[in-house]
Amino acid sequence: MENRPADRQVEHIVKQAQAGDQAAFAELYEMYYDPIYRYVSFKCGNRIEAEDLSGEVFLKMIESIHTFKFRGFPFTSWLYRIAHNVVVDNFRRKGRRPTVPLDDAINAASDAHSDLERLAEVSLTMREVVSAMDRLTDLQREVVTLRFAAGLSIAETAKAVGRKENAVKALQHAGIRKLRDILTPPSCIRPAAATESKL
Amino acid sequence: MNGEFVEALNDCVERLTGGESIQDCLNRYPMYADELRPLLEVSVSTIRAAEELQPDPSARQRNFQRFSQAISEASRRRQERTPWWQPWKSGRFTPIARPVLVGFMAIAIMLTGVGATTAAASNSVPGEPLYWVKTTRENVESRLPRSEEGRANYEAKLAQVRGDEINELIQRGEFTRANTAMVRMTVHLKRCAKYAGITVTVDPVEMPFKPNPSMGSDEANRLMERLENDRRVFKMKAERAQRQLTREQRERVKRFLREADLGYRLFIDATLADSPVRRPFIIVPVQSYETGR
Repeated sequence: MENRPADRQVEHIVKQAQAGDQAAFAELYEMYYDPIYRYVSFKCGNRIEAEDLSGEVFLKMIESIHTFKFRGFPFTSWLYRIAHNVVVDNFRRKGRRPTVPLDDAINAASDAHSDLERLAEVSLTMREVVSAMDRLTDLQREVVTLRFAAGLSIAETAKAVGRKENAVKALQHAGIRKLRDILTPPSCIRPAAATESKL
Repeated sequence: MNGEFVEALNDCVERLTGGESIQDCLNRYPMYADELRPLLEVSVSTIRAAEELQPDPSARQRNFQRFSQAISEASRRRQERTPWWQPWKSGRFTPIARPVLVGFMAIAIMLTGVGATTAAASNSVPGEPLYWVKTTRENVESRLPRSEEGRANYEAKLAQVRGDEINELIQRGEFTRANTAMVRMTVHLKRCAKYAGITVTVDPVEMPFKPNPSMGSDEANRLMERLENDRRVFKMKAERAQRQLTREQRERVKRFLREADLGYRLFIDATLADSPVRRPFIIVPVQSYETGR
């Protein structure tokens, strides 16, 4: 996970953006584009769609950033709510539940990595994880995605999903346990063990 | 569900994202190690899968261009539709300037309200609800002129205002209130004389003393002309008003006319002197001021 900017720094940048500062908008884009992309990818499981929807999230942010107020609500949580709504709207427009086009996910990884063996491991993990995510409840999937894909803290996740922190911890526990059950036999989690030392 | 275990799992997830290994986390919670291990392995797999998801740089750049265009467009739209009374929405004002601006606007609205009330009170006459606003404003304004000439002119103006009130009250048949206004008119004329450098005494046996030559002859002549004009206007309006009245009421109006004429005449004659030092002393009977008769 990349280093997350301090709350005060984010607040300062957001206030500048609210005043119409274009450089501040660009800064927010740089800070949040990648985690938003990961979040959206996890939710919709389609690379091309994830790219379009990520762009849409930032366009929505421009439209409504003047309504955001720092009153105990982190900007990150607010932005992921927008992302959630964009994804849900997309599902509604398409009239179907999200599917997992694995080839797209593999393609996404192939842009970043050339090593074939490593690519095979990663794509296998991604395939299994994204498929398994689809079998969680909506809230469990949302919490796990926000925590692991977007890298939000428990407090930020709680604000984003509108639940108390203890409830989010419980949802996280249930989600991970269910993922474990789905991802057995243990061969599916082999890549994790292989990359454990890096974490 | 075991709350401690849920807390332990969450703590381990935080540590894994912070760079700790699974084994380090299990060492922290040996009592839950067997149960935690498979969950932490799944967590690491999920985190790892997410980290491998990197956006296509060209798509990222394409989205950024759309984003930049949308910012420029939003900025242009906002400047177009920002009303002139909400300048902080255009971003021209800092957040600190906003409360200051709101404060100024509140004061402006308050002053406008006061101004509207004062304007509405300007035509009121004694006995009407807003008359106190009119007299309060006069009391404040009478302190504004710094020169003796300015004060004399303001008192002359107030005498003329009282004259208008008297005529209005006569038309309404409110003679008692008209009488009160007459007393006030005489007071204003007396003050006007005082500021013009003419000593007016209420004691007929008091020795006169040299007047204060505070006004030049030009200013004195202008003041005299103004008073003469006011006297004529008052007389003309009062004579017109009394045509509709009964005989008894006409007698009362005539008395007002005589008193006003006397007040103006004495002052005008005194002001007619060529030089301030040659102005005569004026002695006005006590009754004229105190009772208005």
